[in-house]
Amino acid sequence: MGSSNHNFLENSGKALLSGNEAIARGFWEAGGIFASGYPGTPGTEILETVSLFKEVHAQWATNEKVALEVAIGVALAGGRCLVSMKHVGVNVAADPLATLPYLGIKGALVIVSADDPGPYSSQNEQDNRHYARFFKIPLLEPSDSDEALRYCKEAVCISQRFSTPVMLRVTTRICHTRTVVGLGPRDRVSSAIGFSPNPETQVMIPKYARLGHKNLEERLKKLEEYSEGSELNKEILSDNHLGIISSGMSFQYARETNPGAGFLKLGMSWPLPAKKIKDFAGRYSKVMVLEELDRFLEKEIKSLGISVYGKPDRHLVGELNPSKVREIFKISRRDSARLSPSKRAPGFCPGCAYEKVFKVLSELDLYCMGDIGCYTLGVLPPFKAIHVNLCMGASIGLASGLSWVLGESQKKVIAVIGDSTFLHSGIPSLMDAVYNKRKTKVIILDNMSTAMTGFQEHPGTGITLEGDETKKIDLASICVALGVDKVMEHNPYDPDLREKIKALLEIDGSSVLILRAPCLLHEKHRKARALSKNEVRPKKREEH
Amino acid sequence: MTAFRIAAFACFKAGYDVKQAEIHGMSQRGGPIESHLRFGKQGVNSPLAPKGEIDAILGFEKTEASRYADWLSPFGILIMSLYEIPEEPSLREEKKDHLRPEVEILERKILVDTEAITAQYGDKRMMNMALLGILAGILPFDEKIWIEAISSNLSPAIVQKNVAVFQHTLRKFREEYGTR
Repeated sequence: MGSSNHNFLENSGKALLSGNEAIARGFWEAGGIFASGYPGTPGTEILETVSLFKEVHAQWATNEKVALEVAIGVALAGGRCLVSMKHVGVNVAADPLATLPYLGIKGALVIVSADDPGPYSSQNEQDNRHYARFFKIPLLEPSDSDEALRYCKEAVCISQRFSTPVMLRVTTRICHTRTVVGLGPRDRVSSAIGFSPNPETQVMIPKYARLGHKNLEERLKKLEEYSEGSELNKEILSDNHLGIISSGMSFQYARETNPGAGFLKLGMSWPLPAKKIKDFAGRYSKVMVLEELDRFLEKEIKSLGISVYGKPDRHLVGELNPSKVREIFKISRRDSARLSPSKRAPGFCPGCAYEKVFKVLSELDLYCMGDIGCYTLGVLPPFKAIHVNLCMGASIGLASGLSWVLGESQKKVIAVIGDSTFLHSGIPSLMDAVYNKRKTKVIILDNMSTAMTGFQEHPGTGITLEGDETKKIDLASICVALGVDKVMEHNPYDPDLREKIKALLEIDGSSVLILRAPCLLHEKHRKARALSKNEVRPKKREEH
Repeated sequence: MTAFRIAAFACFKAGYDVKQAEIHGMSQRGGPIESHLRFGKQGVNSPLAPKGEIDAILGFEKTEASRYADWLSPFGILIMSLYEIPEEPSLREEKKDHLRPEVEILERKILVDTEAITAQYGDKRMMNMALLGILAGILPFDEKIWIEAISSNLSPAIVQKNVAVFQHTLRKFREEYGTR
């Protein structure tokens, strides 16, 4: 990562920050005290940056559901919290997130969803704005780093004022783009911390859930009024015939391509400011909605009875950029396909143990269920060793299902999962395999790191996000405790790797082979992090 | 891409509005990185410039640079390193300064043998700094601002060497093209 300049930790002035850094700074300025999440491109740096502020406690969670639940615990007693995850991470956190709006939280809770249109480094490009509408929570969409900071602060305010979680939704282009940001002081007024039991608003049995839902619908009406009057939804007037409604990075592209048009920039895109949109649309003979991925705004606005134009179908897929937007507004013709040198694909780092593993797997006659991590690259040439990849922790379940239906007569099935992924969500799947008497075969690739996202720590490394030593979980013991028939450990650099993997396949029962060798780059990054923290935060913080 | 971060910082310190975008993720596993920088006196909207409107492209590696040759505006400049990372060893081009046709036809290009320059200073990792020196020759910022940008964005141990490489190419550029 290299040395970064930390002058943005100072109190005032301007700084050049990425969207991720700006969100972290905004949370600190808003008086935040607790943050959690799980690494995931493009939002990983949010939590890493939050951990640089000594007034905020930041920790990596086992997975996004746990991250949110812990934060809810803090918020129930009045704390201001932030939980950050990538778009698919919200799927994992969806269970607590769905019911949370029924509760009355005293503090503040901001959920950052870092979406990945493209996708650049994800298994899908789902549009998480739908979650805000689904769960009836406010949605804020900044369009650059300065807004990311201000909207994060605004999110904390809205959360506290309306007792609602707030979704702050960003995309790769916002997260990783550096723009000029105005810095401010930290809010010194902190919420009083204390838990007051009140079952009606905290225990969601059906009777209280009905009440909670009723409260939620009433709150949503109040939030709509707030959205109508909010400065986050800004109109840029023009006497042009064209009006454009947009949000997030799409707004920037639209503005750049149509500087003369009238604009309604939505910063709070849920609930929609219906009246404001109607008034805006009435001023222009043609109104266009410019958005990335799904027709979220377009369909909602049309259902208000407002006639608007949307983008062509082909732009439902992939990230928008200025060239595509110019084409949408018919400013330029569609680019014909051009021949260019072949795109360079990523691969394993030189010397990585995973290369050896996938070489063996590619030579064996089997089906391999893959998972999410550096090892997913095993799907690429020359190995082409992974046959299915779905989501975090899915490999083991997939292997159990596929091996059951294929039976003994067909090829063997194996699951390949990383240490971090296994701890995130592989354990329930392994438990299921044993409980349902499947003879599932699993290779756990233990490189003692959450490497792909930038070498973060996890419960198996024995070090916290803030660099403190903690208990280190033993993967083999977990597998034994789950009742797996045979658990083996081996160093993937040792010469008899092939024999060990073949032996795994021959076992008559459920079996796990843990291939352990530390990621070659993790240690270097851990040292750099420690150095960086010492520069910035030499005093050890007291327990909260 | 530290080089672009440094350039963005220089624009910022010089008082311009600036937006700098990067595409990460797979970069740590050998995939290419694309970095965009836009600055201006008034507000910059998009961090990405449309194809065909880019004023300067820094190609830190030869093959990657060729991919983007047609993104330049008619008056744009390609500043390209002759350093090549072949996709396969057998594909390495015969001569270092052999150019692909899409680069050959460009009128305004500056080719830099970054390997040779950094060999003088003993560290190949500073190749990108060599291109930054050329960019500094083209942009209107004071050299002091660039040096401040380099110093605040690199660890102290390597700042001096990198500034040396930077100044080397900046000096060579000014000798050949004058000051702006």
